[in-house]
Amino acid sequence: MNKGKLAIKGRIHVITMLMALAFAFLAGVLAWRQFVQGAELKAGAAALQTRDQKIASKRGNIYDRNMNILATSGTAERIYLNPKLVSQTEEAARKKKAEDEAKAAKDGGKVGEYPDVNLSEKIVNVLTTNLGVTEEWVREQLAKTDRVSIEVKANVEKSVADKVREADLTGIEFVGDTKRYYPNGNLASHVLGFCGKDGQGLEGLENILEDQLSGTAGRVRSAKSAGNGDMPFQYETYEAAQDGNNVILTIDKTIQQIVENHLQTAYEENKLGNGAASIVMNPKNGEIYAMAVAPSYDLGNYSVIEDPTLLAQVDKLLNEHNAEYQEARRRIENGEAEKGDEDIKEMTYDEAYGQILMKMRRNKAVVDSYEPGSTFKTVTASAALEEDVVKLDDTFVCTGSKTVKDRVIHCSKREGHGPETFVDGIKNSCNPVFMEVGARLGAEKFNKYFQAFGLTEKTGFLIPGETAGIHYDLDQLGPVELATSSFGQGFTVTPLQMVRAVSAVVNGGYLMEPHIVKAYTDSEGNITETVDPVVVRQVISEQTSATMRDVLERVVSEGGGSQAYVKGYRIGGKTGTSEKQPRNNNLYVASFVGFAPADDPEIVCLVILDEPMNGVHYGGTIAAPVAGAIIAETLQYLGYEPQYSDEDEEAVRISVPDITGDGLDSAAARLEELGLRLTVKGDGSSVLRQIPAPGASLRSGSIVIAYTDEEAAEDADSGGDLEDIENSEDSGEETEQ
Amino acid sequence: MEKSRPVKVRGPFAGTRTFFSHFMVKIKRNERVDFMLFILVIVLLCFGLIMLFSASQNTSRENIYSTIVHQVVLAALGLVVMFLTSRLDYHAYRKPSGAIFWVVMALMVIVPVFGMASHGATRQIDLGFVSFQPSEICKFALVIYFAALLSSKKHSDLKNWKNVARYIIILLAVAGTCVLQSHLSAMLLILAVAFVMLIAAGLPWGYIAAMGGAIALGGGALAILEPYRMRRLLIFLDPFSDLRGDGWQIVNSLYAVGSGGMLGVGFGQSRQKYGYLPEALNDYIYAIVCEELGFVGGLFVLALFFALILRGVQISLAARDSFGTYLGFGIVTIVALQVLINVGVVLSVLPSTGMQLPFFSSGGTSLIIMMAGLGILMNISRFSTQNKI
Repeated sequence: MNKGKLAIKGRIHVITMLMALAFAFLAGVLAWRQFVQGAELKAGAAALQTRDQKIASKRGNIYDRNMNILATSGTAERIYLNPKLVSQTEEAARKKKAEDEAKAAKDGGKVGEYPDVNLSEKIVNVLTTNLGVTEEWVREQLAKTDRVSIEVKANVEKSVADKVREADLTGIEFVGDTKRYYPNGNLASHVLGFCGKDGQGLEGLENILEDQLSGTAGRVRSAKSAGNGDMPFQYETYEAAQDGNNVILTIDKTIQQIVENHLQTAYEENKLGNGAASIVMNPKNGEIYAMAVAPSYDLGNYSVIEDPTLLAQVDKLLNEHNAEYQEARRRIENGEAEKGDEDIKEMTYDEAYGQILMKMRRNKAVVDSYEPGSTFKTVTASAALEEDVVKLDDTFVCTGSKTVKDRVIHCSKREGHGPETFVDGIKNSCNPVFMEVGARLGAEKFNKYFQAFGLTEKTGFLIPGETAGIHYDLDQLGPVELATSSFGQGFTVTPLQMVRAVSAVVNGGYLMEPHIVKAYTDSEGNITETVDPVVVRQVISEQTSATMRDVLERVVSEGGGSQAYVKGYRIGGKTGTSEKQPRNNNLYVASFVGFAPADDPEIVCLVILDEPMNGVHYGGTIAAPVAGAIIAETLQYLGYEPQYSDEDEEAVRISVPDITGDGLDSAAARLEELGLRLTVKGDGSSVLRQIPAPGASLRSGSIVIAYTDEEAAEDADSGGDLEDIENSEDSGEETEQ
Repeated sequence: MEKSRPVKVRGPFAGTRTFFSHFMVKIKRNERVDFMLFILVIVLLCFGLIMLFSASQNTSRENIYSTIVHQVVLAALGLVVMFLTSRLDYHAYRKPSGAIFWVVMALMVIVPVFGMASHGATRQIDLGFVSFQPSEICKFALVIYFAALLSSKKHSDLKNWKNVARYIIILLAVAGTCVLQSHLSAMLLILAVAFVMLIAAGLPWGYIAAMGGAIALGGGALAILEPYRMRRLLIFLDPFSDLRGDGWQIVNSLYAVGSGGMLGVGFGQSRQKYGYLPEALNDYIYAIVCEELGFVGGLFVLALFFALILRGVQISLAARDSFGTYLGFGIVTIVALQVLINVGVVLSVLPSTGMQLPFFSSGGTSLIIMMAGLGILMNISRFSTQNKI
């Protein structure tokens, strides 16, 4: 017994020792878990326990220079479908119905309503009616019963979302969202760009100013129970969303509208195959007042091509590509495969549509470079005058062509302009004159000015994808290249580069940095940053610039740019027509660059019509009038009253016809035709007397008073109504504007 | 080493006193319950209740007081039972130990038939106001039975294979009933306790190796036969590999423990109890202790239990007779193994099994039964010769 007891004791001691070791081991593991692995485990736990909820920031507005809203964001909703919940709900309802029916059959109980039995059908119905999704698509999504969240549509307007909400269907879920609105539809579409459905800027300023506009999303990080319930204690971090900054553009909505109207008309009238672009810039500070591309597109519907020309191009692209594809297939089948044939894939309509869509959205004014043609002569002339290699009254003789080395280069006028001064050469846009002037400048100086006018560099403009064109480097600039370059061929520039260069020609010689953003404000509207005009460099002297202004005004008033002339305004400018590469395809770019008022330019306007297909392709004929109209309307809008010269005055005055004896209707028609208005006094049906008398000279829109009975005619004799006529002259003008 | 006391004949079967008169006996000064043991039990009980209260403060529960009120009632009952068992001379169990054991075994067989379903395995008896698991009683019944057998002249010789065979047959019977209930963790615990007692009683090394091997083989076989056990068995090696599946419980246990650091996130501040840690009130309550009270709290709990065990071992060794020694040591072993397994699971050094932490885990009658067992240990302490405090 004693011995046994001792043996027990020994073993119990050993076992207790082992237990102690086990406890010590667990204490060690505990320390390991809490101290060595602690941070990692704690982070894991935190990640599990906390839910991040994003708080969307409000995207900033884009304003024009007068604080008209061009782009803004509103609250919208995003609608999701929960197919799993739908199928479960439906299943449960069916089961309940079956049970109740069985019960009813047995005990005669009541069978209630089971609205969820055909939940799917209701969902299909509601979604297809309100959200524009196809029935097929909805059914496909509903079949994915293991999914709990499928996005049906983003950026749904509240009114639409409410309609879906009213249906009160299980399995349709709503999440707050924002939607971008462009209140002016197509206006400045190529400048503004648009946002994707997640609110990120995809094109234009929306894209390039993303950092300014988007703001910073905030978030709430809060601890939640496993069942997504709230925790009783505060364990929440809140980072407020930082709303995006607003952007104020230099764009003027009204000028933009003027430009777009005229550009769209020109686009349609000239059946332009490759669109049109126009820029209106303030040459003094580089502010862009308007930048337009035709055809424009609806920013609210940026994935739809509406323009018929572009739609036709989709088919054309598709057909041409697939013809090529068929040809390649045929060659492969006949064993005549050429290199690359295998790589040609058949194109789908969607692919072709996508390519044209990209073209539609391209900001031609900044991205596409073109041969400036004769508009470039402004630069060559400025350089030559600045370098003093030519005087305004130097005489040249144009024979219709000029031979440079062994190349015969023609003037646009084949029979030649004959003897002419340098000014005439500019007015006539005579190529041989400019070849001669280019030669006098020499390659080195020509190249210097070419660079100085900023035609080799990007302008640094805030539009994605700006290009800088292609040009001859100095070592490539042989006599032939110099000759053609002198009158604007053999290199390409972007419209924006061209506008900037011409601005430097007319603004006193200062190359400005073109800019489209005037200022940034924070979300409360406090200005955070203003964009000041930047003078890149002075290219020519004030004197040369003044000379150029004068000469170019004469181009419009007397020379090839006369189609841009608008009575009452001093407009200067230069036309340009260039045949597109490869030559002899009868594809042209017609352009006109103008500025006004000619003595102190406030605006420079470039109009480019790409591939006119309606017979006429001369810049002087089709681009100049567009630019003239744009300039005139813009000047009026900017508050420049037309200043009529005596000659102009005479031209715009209308001689009053004799309408006595006419019926009222015919009198009104005759006056209207002449641009006058009729006011009737008296109760008669034909005109007895008129004021003013026939032959008097009136300005357009003035009133002619017709007296139709004796009583009224007596008033006329007393001259009581003359006051009205004088007053009506002003009001008539107002109406014209 | 201590002097053996003259054995006094006590108990209901020794004289004319009634059964209840045992509880009325005036306690002699030197036959008081060991105070240190008593204090450790009370501290653990209180600490356990407090932590259970904290762990059950979970807003997702409808009534945050239901758990703790239930547990406090059970604890009060447990105190009464503990008082009674501490008063009842432990020798009283000796003679009926076999009968008690086989009655419990009968219950163990009946349970799967009449018990109610819970957690996919049937292992409870529902008495209306309270449900209990016979396996809880079975642990103690077996300890009493083994203590009686091991301290008897007839069956104490473990070098005799016939004796060993007898123990093995008893254990196989227990194992069988546990398998019937699909209650592997109970089986594991009971077999392990019995095994420890046999080792203490001088089981030859050959048998130890053979039985250890048999248990390992049996466990392995069961794991292979039922793949879900195998998966649960192995997932603890890399719980993060199936975070949202089988590893969920273990990962969240580790997250809770790891979140604690030195001093914990604060009493009542556990986050894992909000639905993340399954069985936070039961098998994994130790993780909540570690999360809220940190390393200090976790270590304190381990220390309390270890102190209880050491004191229990001292009492057992100083027991008046070998029955007392075996009985006391068996009870201590139950506590020790439950704590080690439970904490081992929480700290992910052992595969997940359903093992409760005495005094802390909620539920059932296990608390009452555990306290009854500790009452028996206290009774042993009254007549043992350890340095009483």
